[in-house]
Amino acid sequence: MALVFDNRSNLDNQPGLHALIGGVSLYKHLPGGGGPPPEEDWELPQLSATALTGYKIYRWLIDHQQMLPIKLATVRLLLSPSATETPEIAKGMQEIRTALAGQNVILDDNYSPCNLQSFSDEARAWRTDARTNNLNITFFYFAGHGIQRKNNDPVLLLEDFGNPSVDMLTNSVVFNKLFDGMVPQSDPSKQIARTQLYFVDACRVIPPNLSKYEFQNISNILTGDLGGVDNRSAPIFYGTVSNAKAYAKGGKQTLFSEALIKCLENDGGETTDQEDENGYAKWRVSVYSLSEALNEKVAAIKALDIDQEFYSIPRGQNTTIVNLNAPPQVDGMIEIEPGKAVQFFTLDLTDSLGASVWSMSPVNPHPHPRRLPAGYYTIKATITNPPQPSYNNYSKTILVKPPKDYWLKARVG
Amino acid sequence: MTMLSFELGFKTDTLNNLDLPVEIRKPNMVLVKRTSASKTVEVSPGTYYVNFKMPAGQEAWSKVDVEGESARVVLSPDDKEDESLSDVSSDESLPDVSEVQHYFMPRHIPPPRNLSNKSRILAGALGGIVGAGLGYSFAEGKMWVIAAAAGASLSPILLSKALEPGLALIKRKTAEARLRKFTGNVLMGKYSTDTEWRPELLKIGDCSGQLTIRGENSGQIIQLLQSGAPAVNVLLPAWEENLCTVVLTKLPEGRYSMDFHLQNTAADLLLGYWQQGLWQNAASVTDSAAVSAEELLYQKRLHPIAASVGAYSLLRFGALDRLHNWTENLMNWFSWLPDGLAIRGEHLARLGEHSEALRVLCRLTERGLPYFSDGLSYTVDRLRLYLGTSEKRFEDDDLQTARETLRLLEPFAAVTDFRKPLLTFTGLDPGKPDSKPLGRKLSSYGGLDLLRQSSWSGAATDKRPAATI
Repeated sequence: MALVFDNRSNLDNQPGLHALIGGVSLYKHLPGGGGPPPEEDWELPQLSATALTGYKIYRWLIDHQQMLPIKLATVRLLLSPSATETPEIAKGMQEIRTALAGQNVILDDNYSPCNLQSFSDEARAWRTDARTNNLNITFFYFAGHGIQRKNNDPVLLLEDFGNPSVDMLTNSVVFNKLFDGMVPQSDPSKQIARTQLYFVDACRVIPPNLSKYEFQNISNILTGDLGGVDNRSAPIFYGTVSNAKAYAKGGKQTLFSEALIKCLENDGGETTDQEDENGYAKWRVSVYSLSEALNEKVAAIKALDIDQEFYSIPRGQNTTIVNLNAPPQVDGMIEIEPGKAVQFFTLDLTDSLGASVWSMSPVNPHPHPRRLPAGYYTIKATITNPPQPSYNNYSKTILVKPPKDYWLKARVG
Repeated sequence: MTMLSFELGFKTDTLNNLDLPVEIRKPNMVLVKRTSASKTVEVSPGTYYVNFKMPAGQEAWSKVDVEGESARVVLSPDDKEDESLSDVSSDESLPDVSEVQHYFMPRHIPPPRNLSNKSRILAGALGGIVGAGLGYSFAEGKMWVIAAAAGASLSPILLSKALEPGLALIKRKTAEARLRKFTGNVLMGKYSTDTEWRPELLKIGDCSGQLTIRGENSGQIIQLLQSGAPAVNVLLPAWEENLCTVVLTKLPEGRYSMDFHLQNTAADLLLGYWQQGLWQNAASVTDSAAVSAEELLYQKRLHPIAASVGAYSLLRFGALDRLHNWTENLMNWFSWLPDGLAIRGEHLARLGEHSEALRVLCRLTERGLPYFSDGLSYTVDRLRLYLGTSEKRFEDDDLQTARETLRLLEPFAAVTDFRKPLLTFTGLDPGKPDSKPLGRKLSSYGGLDLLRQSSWSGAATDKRPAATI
């Protein structure tokens, strides 16, 4: 049963967020999968972190449901884990059950395998839920092997991909068809979620000899009419660009999901036009701010000597993905320049409302690492240790905000 | 209430005339307003911070105390209130085009190299020494003698690892690169090499040169040939009333990058934000009057290519209500503009008018490849969708035409870099796209030899307009 989280009865027909999550590590027909081998395997190996990534995305939704712009309604979880991932996922499912005890939510610890039959059934059920209200939000995440038939045409490979008893690509999903299948219908009185978030965390390379395969037999997961006015906000966040691979930390999670979660929790934060009860700005992560924060993560990925580049397409108006409970935290360094003056100064940092955030005399260690909530700060360096050398007091207001680290220098010389 | 206006404080007029998107915030970071630099906005008296971000990522802000009837804030990266601006050059001699490039051109991220830290240190030390020797010898015309001696005396490991910096230096010095230009409709095979093309490259920095290209109302493709890499083709965003400029930059690893600028600065700004994935800024520019259809299509000076940029943005950001029927005018008034068809077709499809969308998109072969990758992407995706649907909505003849159109477009889509706003695809023969790397010797292909342009004609401080070709 893929419907591992069902909160519909508590929503009383109010809009909700409906998630469909797929994660495949175990490929039955690839080497080591235990099933009959495919006609050719394109040298695709078994995976060790993608099913776990699917679980981690589910877990993230559960743990952060209060931050979602509308209530979490359903989660359909399709996982094909490796033997080493299975116990960790089982343990996590139990933790969720414990955490949500007494909340009148229907939970099921038994996710479905991410094969064609389950995927097809659950995608249709997911669309049915999406069609209950225009204000619904849908959330799609897939982690596993992926290919491209042509450029800009991602194909998601499911657990039973390569089954020699059917055509090579029968057990796979053409992502664009899934996307097109979620289009608003021609009849304007019929509803569907107008905010649809798509995350495709899979390789996008064209395998060798692909041209010899027929593609007509790839399943149409979501059939339907061509649609009416397409006024969706439907951004697509790809784990990698066309003709490139996506990577994972073995046995842990994919690089994209790790970056995504960091951005959703903190690094993608942007201010809103709202104030909280303490007079500070409220923060959120929006489609656009998430895209920009993910772009910033690319440099860190490149620094690992990994040729993976996150890529997103906005496809619609900006919308809130999560509301942050507090300003994002930003790492950085505070420094007195020149460094030899450090013993003569007290450094004070106050926030935009004049509240003292930090003070130290002398600054030790120097430069001083400090994590700060995003915001405007005034830094003051005051001479406190006469006799006064040829240095000056210093005061300046600075802006600290994600996704980049900051570096404050009090220039006293 | 106080009327707050903005003034840009860059060195060049080009940048100062930009309608930059700006954000006004209270000291507690609450967002007060998003607007653009050309507008005057009404705010309550108080203290505000005004932010802006350039396409290349430089961000700056200014603090302003607002009181009385009006206030004005100067926005300039030179304010340097923000420590993150430390990467902004303070070079007073920065020439106009160079400053524009600095704020527009995406930062180059070198490709990953699979060397351990230890290998890097070794490579850096040994390769640097040998490389310096080879570089010097190359300058003296003795490269081959020294290279042969080095090759004979060093082990294969050193050659592959330790000598990498030195070899890279040689590669950089000797790797050939050429530019060619083609004109015509590559989709229909009606195109030719512009053999008379003799562009003048104007130096705009130590490693950058600029050339300006006169527009034509037919597809112009610039082709960059580099040793060991596939030929890169880019549709040039110029038409007979508008030039475009191409900036060539020699990268540290010896390859060249190309950046393109439209003559319309608002559209150019929008393209810059697209390329960097700065969607909020791109959306703000799209909202501004500068790239509206009224401004770009209905005023005295027509900018159909810039209008296309605006239209693609409206499609990207889902602002269908702002497209009205002007996509039809864009398609009809500029009968040479392929993007007019791609935009109109996608607009119709988003409105659910699929039969008409199919017919419009199938006309693309008449006009050639779109100038922008969104145009190719929209067309190919829609045709694939329409040909794959079980819905009996289309005439058989239309479907047959769609099949033929898709057959012509898909080879280009297969080798197109959809991250680039301008249509960029690979292939030595632009009519037969592929991804085959070229050999080392490129002289037989003709065109402008970039290796021989190392002195880049012109001077760094020369602010005269670039030569027109």
